[in-house]
Amino acid sequence: MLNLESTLIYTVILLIVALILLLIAVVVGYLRLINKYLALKQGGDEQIDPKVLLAQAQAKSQKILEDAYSESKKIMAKSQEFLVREEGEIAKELGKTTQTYLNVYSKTLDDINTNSTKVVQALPNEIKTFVVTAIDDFRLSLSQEVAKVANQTSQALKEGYIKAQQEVEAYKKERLRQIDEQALKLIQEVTRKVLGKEISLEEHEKLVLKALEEAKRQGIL
Amino acid sequence: MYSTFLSKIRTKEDIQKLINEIEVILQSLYQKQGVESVLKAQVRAWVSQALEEDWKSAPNKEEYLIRLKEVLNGLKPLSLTISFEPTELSLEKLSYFVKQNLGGNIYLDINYDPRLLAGAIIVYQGRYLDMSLKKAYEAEFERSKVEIIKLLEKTHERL
Repeated sequence: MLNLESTLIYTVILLIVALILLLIAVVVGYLRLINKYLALKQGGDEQIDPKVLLAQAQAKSQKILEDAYSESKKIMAKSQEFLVREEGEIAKELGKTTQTYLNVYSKTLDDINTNSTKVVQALPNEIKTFVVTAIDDFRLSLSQEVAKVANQTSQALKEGYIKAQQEVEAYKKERLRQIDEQALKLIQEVTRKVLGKEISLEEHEKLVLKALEEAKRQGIL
Repeated sequence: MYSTFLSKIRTKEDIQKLINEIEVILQSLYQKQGVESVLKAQVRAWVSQALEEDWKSAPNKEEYLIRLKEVLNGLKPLSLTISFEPTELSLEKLSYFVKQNLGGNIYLDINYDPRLLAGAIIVYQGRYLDMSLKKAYEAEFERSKVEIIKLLEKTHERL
């Protein structure tokens, strides 16, 4: 690629140089003509016919132009030849390079294709293996979790039941205790009232006198 | 000298009543109406009689009455808490016992508390004795409580 570019650059430079040379030649010729015309105009050479001079000048300039033209044609032809030749070379090189790159790309593509195919072919198996493994793991952990939760639930239920039972027992015990207390108070009150009503006035008097006697016996009185 | 009066005194109310009568008689000593009309119209018959009897040997009536008041205020109380409201006869019996056994300088301070069931609580000169049926009943009930509770527990088991 670099060779091609440099060749092209050289060709272009060459062309430019050729054109510049042509131009210089034309300008030089024209200047000479001008000088001659000016000299003739000033009357330097009386023997020469202006028309002849003019014709000569014309012919000379024509010749110069033709020479310049042929020269440029030659240069052009050379450059054209050079171009064609170099074009061939460039094309050849381009072709080579292209072919090289093409080969490399093809090879790489083939390699990629082969590897991808292998990978893609292996993918289902791998995926399958992975999925199967994952499902097994999941199943195992799920079973463990379910067993764990079942255990915990059963334990919690048992504890809850025992606690509820204990609470019920405690409540029952407390309530029965309260009922017993009230029953005792009631029995006490009823027997007291019955006793009080059953004792006659005379018995009361006797009991008080007995109390006084006991007080005397004990030294209270 | 005051034996008649002391023999008639049974309770705190008796003392208060007698003191009130003495007050009236004392006041009448300096009034126009005279003590005789008061004795006839404003004091009890036995009080008048007892006073007239004692005044025969007591020249100064006023001094006599004041001294009587002092004697009455100086009587010692026997606190008796009983579970029934005594009749006159009951009071007589109790007062008789006290005077026979402790002398005439004591009166009964009767208090009524039906919760005692029977018997009495006696307090005399700072000494205390509970001879009520309530005490005996509660003691007995406490002993029987265990059996009652067992009976109740048997009922619970059936429940």
